[in-house]
Amino acid sequence: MDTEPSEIRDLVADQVRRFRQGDTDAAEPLARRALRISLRTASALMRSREDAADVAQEVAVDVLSSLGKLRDPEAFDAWVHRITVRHAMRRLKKGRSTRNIEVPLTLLDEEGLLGAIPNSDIDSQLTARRALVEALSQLPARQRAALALRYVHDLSDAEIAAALGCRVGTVHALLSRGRKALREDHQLVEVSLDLKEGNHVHP
Amino acid sequence: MSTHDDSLARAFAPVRDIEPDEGLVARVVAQVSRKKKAPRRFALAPSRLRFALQALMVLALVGATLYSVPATLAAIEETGGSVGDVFSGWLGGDHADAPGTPLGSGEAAPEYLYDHYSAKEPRVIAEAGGYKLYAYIGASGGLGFDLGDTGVGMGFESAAELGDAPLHVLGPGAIQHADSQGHVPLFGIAARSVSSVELTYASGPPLQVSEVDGGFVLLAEPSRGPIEVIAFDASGKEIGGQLVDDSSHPGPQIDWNSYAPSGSPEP
Repeated sequence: MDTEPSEIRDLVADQVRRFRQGDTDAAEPLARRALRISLRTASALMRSREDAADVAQEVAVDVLSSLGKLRDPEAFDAWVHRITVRHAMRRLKKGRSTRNIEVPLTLLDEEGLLGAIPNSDIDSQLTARRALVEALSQLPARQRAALALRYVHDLSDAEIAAALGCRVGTVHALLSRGRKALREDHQLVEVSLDLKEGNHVHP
Repeated sequence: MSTHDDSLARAFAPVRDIEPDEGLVARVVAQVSRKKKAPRRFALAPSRLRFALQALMVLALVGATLYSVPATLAAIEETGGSVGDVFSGWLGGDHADAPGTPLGSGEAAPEYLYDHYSAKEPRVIAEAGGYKLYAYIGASGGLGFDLGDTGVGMGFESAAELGDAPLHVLGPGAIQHADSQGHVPLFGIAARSVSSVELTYASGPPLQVSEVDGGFVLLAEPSRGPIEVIAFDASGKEIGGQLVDDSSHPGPQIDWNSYAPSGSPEP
């Protein structure tokens, strides 16, 4: 969950102020935070980990380069979400990736986390992720982005609206249509039923 | 959270804990330290307008391959028409297929549009707030646009260069053409399937323009942080869009802050 304690938000805001004043030491923690947020969103939207990493890198560079436009340093995360949406949607709109389709779960392998998960669970999660990525790829870009912001970052409707640059009512519609489409995706439904029944589900 | 929400949350769970590796962090820090952002301005001296338009035509031809308009998947997969289709018939000699209305003989317009050698068959594609989007056929048979007599224009060698998207934002007028409320005209062209467009902002409600017929002029408010122009068909379905914020994406990279010196967009 990305809802951070106030002290962390204050710390980030302080880093933003220091960065604006020319403190280069503040660049690394801000870059790391921007990358964390954008990489998670992009990993839910992109069909390859390379695309997700590319988007995250573009976002982080854009965020740090445009921090002068951020009026409220405490709104850093919201700023990152908005720029992530812009870059991810641009990438999605540009067309399908020429790279191999890879479920973003493989990113976990880089962190050495997969080894701690039983193979059967890995299989079920890979299957679920593949089904989700395929189902999401059939949706309009804004629906995909709204779903990712809700289910990856637990953002509220208002926060999603700010990230997408639309009205809250539009977010309701995007989420509703997106959920409806996913409910009608037979492959995803089957996987979800397996997950619901606890078959090979990693907690 | 509903059962279905639970299932979706589980499906998204693997990406919720991803952390960037150190190499990625280092690359970003290094890139930011090198990055320098150059301001982008469109304003041209009126006395040099005609020459500049010709130069812009050449630049547009050269840069056409680098300037691709992003289209939503929906636009690519679900619509039958593109913005290029709007002008292809006209450029091919089908006058009945021309968008907009012919420029009237006594109508106020840039002088060069009445020069039948450099600007053939000038037409008004859209209008708002006194700003008109003009289109004409250039001397070489290409397609030219004049953005509301604001000192900004551009050209394309063929309609095909406008791309497959249902929407193509041409750009804003020059900063000195903001009206008394600070509105800046933002010009664009749209496929015949587009019946209305909406400009979304970082804050506040979007600006909607209906009855789009081949083009549009949006009176943008730079201080609210324009984000995207979205196209809708007659049923209200979203069929395309183009980002118009000032981030580094393809299209008219507009530095809205230069149009809104008293404030900048905020989340």
